[in-house]
Amino acid sequence: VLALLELRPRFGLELVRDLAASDGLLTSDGTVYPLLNRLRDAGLVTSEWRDEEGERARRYYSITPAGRETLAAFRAEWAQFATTVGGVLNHREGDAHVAPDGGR
Amino acid sequence: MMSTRTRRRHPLIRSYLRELDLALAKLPPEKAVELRQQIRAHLQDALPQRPSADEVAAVLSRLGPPAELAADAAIGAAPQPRQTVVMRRLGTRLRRARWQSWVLSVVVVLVLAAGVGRLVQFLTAPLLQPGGGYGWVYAKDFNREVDTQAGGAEQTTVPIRSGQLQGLVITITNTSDFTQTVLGLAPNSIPFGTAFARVSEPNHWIDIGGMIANARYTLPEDVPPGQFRMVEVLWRSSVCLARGAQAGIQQVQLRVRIGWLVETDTIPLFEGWYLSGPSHGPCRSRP
Repeated sequence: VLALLELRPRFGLELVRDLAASDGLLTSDGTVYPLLNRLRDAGLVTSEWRDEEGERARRYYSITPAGRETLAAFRAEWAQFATTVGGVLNHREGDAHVAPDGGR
Repeated sequence: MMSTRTRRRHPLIRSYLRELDLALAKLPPEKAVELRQQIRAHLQDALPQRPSADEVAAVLSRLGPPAELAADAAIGAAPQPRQTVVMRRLGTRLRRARWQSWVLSVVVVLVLAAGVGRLVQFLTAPLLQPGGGYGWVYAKDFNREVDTQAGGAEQTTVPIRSGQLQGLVITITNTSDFTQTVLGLAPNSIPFGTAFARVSEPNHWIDIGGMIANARYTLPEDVPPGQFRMVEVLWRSSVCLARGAQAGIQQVQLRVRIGWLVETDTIPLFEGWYLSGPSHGPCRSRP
């Protein structure tokens, strides 16, 4: 959610559709709203009502500076985590020192 | 601005929002109201102006069951300390209580100490939970309503019919452990004219495109724990409105008896319910 909001502010359904476009990121559309409210309570997201011509008023959510910091920290952690997990998953038998007798 | 009436009035959406209200009743009120508004906005954005039943069912299915949404919303919503909730409700109720209730309370405390515990339970029981306005009562109004939205606030407006009965239906849910009895409207809570309220009996009723049919209304009426009722709020319109002028309400105040106490419950409507001018014939008051 923070990564999407980093690109530009979005209203609720827009965010839901963008998340739904990434398979598996959204179990049900409604869960986005409690999550947004928790992010708002944590100071990572803010919201404002916008009246645009020809459209009904919508509540747009934006990322805050604290949200950007959190996102940057998460990206760094995730990159490290992904490297570690990738190393384990791609580990091949020949890469390690294995005793000829199988280690017994 | 855009009409949202057709979407809001779809029976499946009404039913979903009623379930959601019930599920959200245990959350702090401000969190419940916020999530309800977000879900309503989602439905308005996700559905076409005149959705089919299949389209509505698909959108509601993707939203997820109301109970799951409420459970999700409760995560991290630091529950208010029980002590705080109890003291706040106790304070509110003691300020509202009539002097008869004070005397009665004192007698009960003196004569039967065991009754104190019961009294505290009544004092701290959750108020009737609002489900918002359901619709205009009369077809004359229903067919002429104009729904608008600005700055996140929704409003439904109908022309005033001076000297005639007009009204709206609201829904309430009793989330306490005690039967609560609706006694009527609080005095002067409706600024449109002489007003009264009636509560639906627990009979079978049907929703015809947003209008209630087959409901029987009475007063006073008990609302047992865990049940919801519709309340008809009716008035004979006598307010003076010039052409283009409007008068509206955002809440309804009901007199409610719970145990030995009679109190005034404020039921927010989630949107503004307005009459528009001009008044015809004699009118007696200004909003």
